[in-house]
Amino acid sequence: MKALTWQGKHEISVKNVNIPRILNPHDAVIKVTTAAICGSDLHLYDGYIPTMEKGDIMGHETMGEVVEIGPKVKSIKVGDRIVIPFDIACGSCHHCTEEEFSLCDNTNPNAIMADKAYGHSGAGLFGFSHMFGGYAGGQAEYIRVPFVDTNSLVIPAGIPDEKVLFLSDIFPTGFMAAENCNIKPGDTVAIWGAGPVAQMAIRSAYLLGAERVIAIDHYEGRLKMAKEGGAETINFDDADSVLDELNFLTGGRGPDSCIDAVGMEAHGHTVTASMDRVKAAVGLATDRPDALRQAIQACKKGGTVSIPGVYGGFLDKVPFGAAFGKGLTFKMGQTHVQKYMQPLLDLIIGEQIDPSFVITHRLSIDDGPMAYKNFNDKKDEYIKVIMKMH
Amino acid sequence: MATRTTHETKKPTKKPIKAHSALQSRTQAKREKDEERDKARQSVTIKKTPAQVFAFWRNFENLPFFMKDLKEVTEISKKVSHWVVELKNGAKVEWDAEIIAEREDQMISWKSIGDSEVTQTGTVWFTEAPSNLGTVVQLAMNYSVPGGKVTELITKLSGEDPETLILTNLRRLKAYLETGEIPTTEGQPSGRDEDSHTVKH
Repeated sequence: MKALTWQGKHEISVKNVNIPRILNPHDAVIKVTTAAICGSDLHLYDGYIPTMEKGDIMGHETMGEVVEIGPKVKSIKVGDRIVIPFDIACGSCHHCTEEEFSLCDNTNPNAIMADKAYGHSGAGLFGFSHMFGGYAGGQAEYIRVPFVDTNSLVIPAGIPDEKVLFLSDIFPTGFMAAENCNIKPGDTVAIWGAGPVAQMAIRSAYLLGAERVIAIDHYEGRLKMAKEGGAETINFDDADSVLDELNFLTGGRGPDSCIDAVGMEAHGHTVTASMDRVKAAVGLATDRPDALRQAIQACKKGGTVSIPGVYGGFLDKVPFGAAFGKGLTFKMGQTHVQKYMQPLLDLIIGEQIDPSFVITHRLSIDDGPMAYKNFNDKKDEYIKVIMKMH
Repeated sequence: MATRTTHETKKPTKKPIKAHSALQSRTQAKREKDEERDKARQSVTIKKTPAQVFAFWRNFENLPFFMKDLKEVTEISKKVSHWVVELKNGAKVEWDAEIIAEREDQMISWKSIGDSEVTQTGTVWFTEAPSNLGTVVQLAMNYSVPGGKVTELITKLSGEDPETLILTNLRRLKAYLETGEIPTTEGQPSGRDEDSHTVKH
């Protein structure tokens, strides 16, 4: 079968590889119909995530049709059309029963690596480095899904892939980011980044009762999409100071909650952002947290900083004194996608939201290498790429 | 190799977990000579009752299910079992182990007996975890690594140091008892497949 494989920094190739098979009794094999490229795939593309191996199959935003099931699969049947969450959960451990699916105890066969790096390991992830299990991803014609009864949402007939594909990651991720803000009526939410997760977070924040959402980015194409979702926008290339601007817009109080939807590869122009690039390049720091720094500085006293943006390692010059001095709450982590898929599908069916608004490019699997390059290099134009896999 | 016979002798019988608190192990460390300390101590919490975990472990023939270094364990008698580890080059290391102490649903202690390159003692405790989290499994082991076959066993077979291997094995036990399978990616496709080839850059 064809699969998009990681060959090294800035190199994705379409390879012909073996078709996956059932390896464990709760597995299923899925014929992939549509897959998307995620902003976090770009962290792999840019070589920011350690423990990738040449040949790894990419992708964690995937859906398709069940073609084979293992002997212990209970609820999923051959022929079911399913969306697959990016985090792999066993469904049985303590964290899964608490609906903390991305913290599953059991699905990462390489947990020992994450234990050493982080103290304890989270769940295995599709297409996301060997420290998180090294599971073959879904930018391929077929994918093996472990514990498929837990790691699936069956889609009713008649709904196109485009409307539901993002239940695999960015819609739940944006929604959980907004939910983590603990939004109260009248609240202002500021969001750093206007990428696909931020677009979902803007709309989720309004669904959860926010009065105002302010999006901060420097790509006009993305800011335009944020405006269409009802957000006020700040282009940080034009603003003298994002912090002054936010204070002005919020009567000097600062936003009630701040979402860092950028993560480890922030593009800021501040002095610290430039130093981050140098330090990351020479290995003195691993992540570039300029969006996070601003979010902490901007946030209202007693407010919440919600972090859906991915971080992997060590952060330099994080204003922890500001966080402490203002009594901030931090909420973060990989999304518990399984918890959100069904209620968010209900919102889609109820026509309260159609997440396909974010799609800018519809391509095929053979376009994959070009799509990665353009998604990385032309962020203004390429906001969300989906690919037909069959 | 330490000649200590059993962990049981050092432990208070009522609350076995407390004997393993960090404080106590530090004071023990001061008292004991180096070679008398446990070489490896690891712990996991499993969402099953102590009776369920004990019953699974007490049947030593189940051990190869989750101990990835173990090829086979055969029960010779109620107390004695025969353990076989196969090296990557096909050579085998074998020894007999005898249960030297056990309390139903609480602990099992064993040691290797007879003439073998491998000498090991191990004790596993099963204690009810707080908040209905299941069972705390604590494993303490001593073993000899005299070089030769056994060193080869540890480095070649697992690529892991013994302590890491023990934790990995306990995690595999947890996954098996909680989910009914041990998660793996062995056998999945990748661009490293022998017959894979590039379609497009």
